[in-house]
Amino acid sequence: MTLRSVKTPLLEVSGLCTTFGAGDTSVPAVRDVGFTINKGEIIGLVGESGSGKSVTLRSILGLSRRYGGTTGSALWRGENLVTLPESDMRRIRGGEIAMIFQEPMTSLNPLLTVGVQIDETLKAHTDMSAGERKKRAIEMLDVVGIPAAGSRLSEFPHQFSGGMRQRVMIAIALAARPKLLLADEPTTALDVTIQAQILDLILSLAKDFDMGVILVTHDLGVVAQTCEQVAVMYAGRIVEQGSVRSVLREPRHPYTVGLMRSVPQNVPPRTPLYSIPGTPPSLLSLPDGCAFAARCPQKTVGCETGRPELETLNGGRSVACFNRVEAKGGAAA
Amino acid sequence: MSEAVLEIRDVSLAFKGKRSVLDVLSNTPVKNVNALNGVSLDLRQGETLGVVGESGCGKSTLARCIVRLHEPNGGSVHFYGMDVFASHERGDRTYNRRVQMMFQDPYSSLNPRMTTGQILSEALRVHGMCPEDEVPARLANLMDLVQLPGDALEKYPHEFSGGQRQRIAIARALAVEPEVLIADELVSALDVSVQAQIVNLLLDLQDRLGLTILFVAHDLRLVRHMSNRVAVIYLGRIVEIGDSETLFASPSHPYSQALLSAAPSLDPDDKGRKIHLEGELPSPLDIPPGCPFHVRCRHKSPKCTTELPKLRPIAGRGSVACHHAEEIENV
Amino acid sequence: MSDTTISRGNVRSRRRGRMQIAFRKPGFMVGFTIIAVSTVLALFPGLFAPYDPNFIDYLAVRQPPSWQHPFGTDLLGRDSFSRVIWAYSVNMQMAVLATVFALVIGVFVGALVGYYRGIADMIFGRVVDAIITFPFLVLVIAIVAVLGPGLINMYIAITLVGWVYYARLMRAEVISQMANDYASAGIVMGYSDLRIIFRHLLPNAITPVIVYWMTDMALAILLGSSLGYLGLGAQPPQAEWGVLIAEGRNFITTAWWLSLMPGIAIVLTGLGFSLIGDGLADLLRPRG
Repeated sequence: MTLRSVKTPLLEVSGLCTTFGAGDTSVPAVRDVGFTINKGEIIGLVGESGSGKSVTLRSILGLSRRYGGTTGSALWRGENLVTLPESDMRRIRGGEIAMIFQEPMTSLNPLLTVGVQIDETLKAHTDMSAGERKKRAIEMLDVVGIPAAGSRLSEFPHQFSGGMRQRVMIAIALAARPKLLLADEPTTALDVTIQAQILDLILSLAKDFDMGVILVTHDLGVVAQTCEQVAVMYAGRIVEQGSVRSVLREPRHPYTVGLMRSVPQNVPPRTPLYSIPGTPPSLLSLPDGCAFAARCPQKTVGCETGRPELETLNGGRSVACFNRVEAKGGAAA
Repeated sequence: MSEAVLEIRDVSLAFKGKRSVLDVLSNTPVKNVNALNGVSLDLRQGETLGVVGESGCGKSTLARCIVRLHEPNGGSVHFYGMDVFASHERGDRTYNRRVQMMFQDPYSSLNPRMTTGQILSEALRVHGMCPEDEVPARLANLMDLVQLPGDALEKYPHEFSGGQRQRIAIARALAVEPEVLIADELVSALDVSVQAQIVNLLLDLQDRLGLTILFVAHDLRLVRHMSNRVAVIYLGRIVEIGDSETLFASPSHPYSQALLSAAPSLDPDDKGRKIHLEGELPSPLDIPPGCPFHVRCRHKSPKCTTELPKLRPIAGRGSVACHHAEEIENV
Repeated sequence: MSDTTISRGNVRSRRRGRMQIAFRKPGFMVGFTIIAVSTVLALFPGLFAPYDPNFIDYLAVRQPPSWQHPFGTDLLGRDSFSRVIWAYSVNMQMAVLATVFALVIGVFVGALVGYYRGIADMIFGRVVDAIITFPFLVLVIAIVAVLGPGLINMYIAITLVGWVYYARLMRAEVISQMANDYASAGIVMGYSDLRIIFRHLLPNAITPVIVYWMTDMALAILLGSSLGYLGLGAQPPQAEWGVLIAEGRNFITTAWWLSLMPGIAIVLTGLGFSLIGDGLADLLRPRG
């Protein structure tokens, strides 16, 4: 990765905030999230349920507009996606930026054949002729590794197995050759052997099409094996960010450390695992200080009154913590 | 070797397939879903036996068979020598008290209209676990065991997080003082940090109460961490069973090898020697002849397509169901 | 012991909280008011009706509404207002008696059949098919024809047909609740079938049945008045809305108030039950 000399920023997100509801019951789902993704790069957004990772993804595509308000900016080819009118978003969605979801069965229309669904995307975002579209559809099913692609175009989603359906979803998403793919837990519903296949597929497609990928997941292993950059989210904010190698080898935020150590890898079997005490705070009643303070082993007095900002360290790392874990401590051991 | 608490012998279970009007008219035979095809294993006193496999392999069905939620078509389950499916034992509810099960989905396994206290005291009262005046003390004691605050007793399930609900489910199981716990994907629906809490709780409880645990899960790291022994299931059959550390360190069956190598490592530079499985799990409606794994296997020989390999002990390892177990290099 | 009392207090206050939410909904409020007033009228008609419903006054025949007779008088000079009010006790009684037995039978049969399935379920399915292929009214009229007209026979007839609808609903709801692991957990805990059915499944499955019951009470009033109108239900001179409408039908152009006023009473109570049903659907839904 260091060999790539010029990095072209594809999408620059900064100060992204999404709030659901209003007044007493308003939920600050995403707060002040920022990251940059380059061409051909895969960035991972990790966090537990309720950390705001999926909402971030949806806010970029304007999918959370119906439920709440988004502010901040997501610069895409000189346009701010956050303020872009819905009609322009529609052009970008599925065309330049595509998205795949966790549940392949519910995100495919069960009443339309796979061929028709790929064709729809192409019709909306390209000016190909019917013949070209059909050729592209077959090509896409082939690319995602569905055998006998030509004959399966006329089949319905229920005729495919779970892993194959996720491949179909990817084929539809990538049909219009998007520049950026947003993947929301694409392998969570799948078995490990199938997960490995799908992740490899996403990796090779990113390389072949020079496509950026934002991968939302809760599985640190998936991040380790797939991504180059990673952002760890907690209670709606990014708490640690950097290259996958540096973050996973030397986590500096106590939450990242805890998360890494909770995974039973390189731990003697049947010994107590490290576990972060307590549960994530409710987004309805976030504390004034650091949201992680209540569960943090490194907490000091200042943590409960002031909130640490995301600070950039050397080596492209940023960490939001007053008492950063010293380098060469923690989970890598 | 300690005594076998549960002896499972040749258990098989086929769910009747649905037959549409069209099938009847065209005289298509009914296809059965063969969920279990002759599973045999012993659960030994005080151990944790991990059961791993992909979804649809029959691991949950096996768990449900053991607690009599399903009745097998063939084979037997003996609990301390007692045939649990014998007709005169069916009405015996003490078996269900002594062998408890915990479920995957913490949102559906608790009755939404009962408070934690009601859920637990019902379990105590139905089985007459303690005199009426001791119930409050026992409830407090149970809350203590699963590390929930005392005021949790007055709350309804919807007021808890997923991890807390699983603690309640564990407390409900422990209320009736069981000897065996069947944990079916107990922590799969939980966040990583909460998973670790529940795993620790389970290890601690096992230590204190001398429980025997069957730990069914698809997360291999967790199973490795929890188990003394592990069984790998593929299409309703055990393909490998043995000591957990040996099996994870050097799996013998090609399927175990592929399964273990597919789990993504936390180390970005450990890309692993991944063994890619071709294709997907065949449908349990149509299990291939011979070794059911041969359609995805790199080591298949003509023998594999016709002859079903039996589970046999291999020197220095556990038992493996593969014709070529000796020749295949450990990974 | 103090623990349990605190717990009960908590549970109760939580229930009260839900009631307050329900009462903040205008629809439920209106429905509740209508039914509350109707119930009071039904229980104590004598307190509100200015005249005896069957007092005949030949000096005031077919009078239009006036201060003395707000709804006018009928052919025999009976006070229409008093008759409509006295009819409340008959018609509200219909709402309850024509449905409550069907409800109880239906819930029991539906819960048992849904839990056990098997042969009982197949037989139940055929019975349902047989009953619901006939139009409801036709079947009820046929049974009344056999038993003879009158209120009691009408209740029997409606119950004989109506329980099927409750049972069908209950069965479907129990089956869908069985998919939840708490039902399996009950089996694994070694609980008896009856405990699982009535302590665990029933409270979770009954909400749609209760909501349907509210609608059904409205329908029962409608059905009861139809039968009264046809001369198969309540018998004249008893004051009952259907009977009242029937009495006024020959004078619809000259003494419109005779049929209109009981008609409005039917619509109003029906509306009340429906609004309560909607509110209950929200109120009874478990959270989580």
